[in-house]
Amino acid sequence: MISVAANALGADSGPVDISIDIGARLRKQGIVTAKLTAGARSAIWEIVEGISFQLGEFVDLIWPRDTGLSQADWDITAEGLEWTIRNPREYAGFVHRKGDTALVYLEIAARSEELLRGAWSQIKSAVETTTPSTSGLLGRVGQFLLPSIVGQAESPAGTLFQARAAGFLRQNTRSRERERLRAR
Amino acid sequence: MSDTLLSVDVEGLQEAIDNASEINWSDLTAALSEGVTDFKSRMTTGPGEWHAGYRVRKKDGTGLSNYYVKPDHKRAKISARSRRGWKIRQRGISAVLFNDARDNRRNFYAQYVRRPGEAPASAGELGPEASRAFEVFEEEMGKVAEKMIASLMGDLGGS
Repeated sequence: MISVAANALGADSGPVDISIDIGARLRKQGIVTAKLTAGARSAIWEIVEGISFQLGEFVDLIWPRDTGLSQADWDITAEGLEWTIRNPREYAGFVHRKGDTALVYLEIAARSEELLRGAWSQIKSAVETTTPSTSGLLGRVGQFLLPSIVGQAESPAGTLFQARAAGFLRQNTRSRERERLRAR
Repeated sequence: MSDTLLSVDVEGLQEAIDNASEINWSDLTAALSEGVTDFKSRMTTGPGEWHAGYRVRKKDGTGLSNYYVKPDHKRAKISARSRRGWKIRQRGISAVLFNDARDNRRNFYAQYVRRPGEAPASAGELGPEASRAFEVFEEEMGKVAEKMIASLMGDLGGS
């Protein structure tokens, strides 16, 4: 949703709010956001914080500066399942480059959608890997086993699990003997 | 975000609140709102504006470089990332001002911002730019307190 308030500068001007309701998009895909675990919410927040940083960098790159006031007013942050992207400056929606009528906030809106599309598989994966897919014991067992499946590169929890598991592995006598002979 | 929390001792305000026969909350809220907005404007346009560094455009067009360059670098572009980091959250007569600027490693760094040639602050200490910002904040909050005291004493004509 893009919302730009009308003011004296015309209909397509005023403060800009191009925030994205991630929860609503998940629900559109049949995900019951009310059932998301705290871990899933936190994982989504981390992902959205990451793309918030990238969007902020994009803003710093393309936003025209005269006094710098409207650039400093961009508020881009993850708040729960909401990606807040707004600029309360009263003329933010009117900002354009010198000699160009194209409104710059529209580029930011397009970039935000692009970044979200790029991160969507991560968000879906966060939902799927941290939310029990089945109820009852099977679901809990699935969650418990998860760290060893996702592997070291993708999850610090996986690393921890693997390290602990290694501590419990014992070689049988014949393997130990073979290794000892090889070492000589 | 750094957990550095700074507060200002606004002399006389508590006494004025204690002695007020009537408190016009909207006057107090407006005074605070004006003060925090003025603080943020000063961080952006001065006097005492927050330092803005220069970076160069990344080749892929997705943003600015991770490193800073001198202002006279031929491709220098003002960054002002940590100026954009200043945020205000106000509810009634409570307000929080913070700077959530992060670097490419996603570390909060506003506390350590310094101008070229200035000595860096040690870990946990307030850097030179943050110290200056705090002085501006103290000054603006002093003005807010004056307006609040005037309202509490009935000098603003509030009901």
